Amino acid sequence: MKWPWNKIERELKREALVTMARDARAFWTDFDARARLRRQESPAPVKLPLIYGWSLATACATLLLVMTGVYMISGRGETGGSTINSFDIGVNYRAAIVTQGGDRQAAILWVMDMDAGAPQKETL
Amino acid sequence: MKNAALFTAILAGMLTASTAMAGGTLSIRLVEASNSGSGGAAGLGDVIDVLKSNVPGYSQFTLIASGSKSLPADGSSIVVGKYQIMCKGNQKELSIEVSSGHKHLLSVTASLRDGIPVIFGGLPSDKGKHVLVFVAQ
Amino acid sequence: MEAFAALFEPLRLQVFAIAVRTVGPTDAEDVVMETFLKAWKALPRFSRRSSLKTWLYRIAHNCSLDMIRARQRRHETAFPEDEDGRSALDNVADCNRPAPDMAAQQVEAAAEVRRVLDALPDALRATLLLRYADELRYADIAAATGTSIGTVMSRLFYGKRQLKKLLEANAS
Repeated sequence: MKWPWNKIERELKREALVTMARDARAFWTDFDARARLRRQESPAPVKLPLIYGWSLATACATLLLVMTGVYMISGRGETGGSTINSFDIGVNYRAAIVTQGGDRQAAILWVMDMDAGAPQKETL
Repeated sequence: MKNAALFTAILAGMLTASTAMAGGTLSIRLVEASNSGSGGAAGLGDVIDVLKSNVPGYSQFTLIASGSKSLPADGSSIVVGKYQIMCKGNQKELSIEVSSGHKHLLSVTASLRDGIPVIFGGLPSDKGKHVLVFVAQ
Repeated sequence: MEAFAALFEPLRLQVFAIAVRTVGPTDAEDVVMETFLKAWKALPRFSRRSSLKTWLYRIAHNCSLDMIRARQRRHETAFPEDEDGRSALDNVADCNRPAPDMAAQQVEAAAEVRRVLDALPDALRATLLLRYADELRYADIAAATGTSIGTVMSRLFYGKRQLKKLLEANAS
């Protein structure tokens, strides 16, 4: 029997798990009961002396401000796709297209007939 | 005095941790788009649909080389296949320069969402075109 | 709790797949439950450095390792056979039993692939199945196996090569 990769891949796909997971309702009901049990079993929180508590509270507030700033700068949590803001092509070419592709909104720069010859500056 | 020292130590530790936690990873993949060969899309599972839908005139995509950089990028270069790629900045405003040999090919500034690719295509290759795929996580 | 369940239910099957591929079907449900209990507890500390899915898959990987260590302490094997001597993959296969109208040749091919998969090293087998059977992305497989994307690519490359080689050797 011959084994081209597409045949092997077809057989691997048959190993997909479709029937073994527990029913969602049963699972989450069980989960709820166990989570409640764990909450009851977890130890009581340790109370810090008030003076350390204030230092820690101030440090946490500062950290929250810093992380909010970092989070905003990093751009996570915003909606929409990736974007190409500007481009500069350093060689001869016929045309360039910038598109937004797919429902995931990938950003695509496609350069037609790009020539690795004499340089030519063209900028968006 | 002791409390001030404790406060400073906690703050310094948390600021360091927050800086470390802010980073991510930029993966860079060099793909050959062609119409020949079996063109197995190994290594391209997360982007193959986008490539097939948006790369004009080619049906086969093969991963040639890959690399990664931590974000924010510090302006150093890495080699991915036959290209030198310099990246600078964070994923919201990332500058990318692509060169081959001593030839500067293109410079791009882009904003990357987690897991959503930025793709540069049309670089010449033997069998078709080279495509560079950038994904931030 | 309802919000947590609504958020994570779409990922439960993938977490189950990770557990099955790592610890086998016998303990997979326990690993899944433990994964979500840990995620429930740790969610307030989730830093958004990675995606929620990647974060959850890492927890699933760690819970799987805990299960394997617990078994080793009880001197059990990582993929225990049941009392009939059937391997873990055989038990998984039972639930994906070929349809009655499948040609005999297809049934034989499926069984052959399963036999050879069983013979592969655990890491290669798990990576191949997570990719081709469970259709996880590379980054998700990396999180689920506690490795890097580069290692995932490498395991897929060697796993595919070894799988093909063994199947063709058996055929000849």
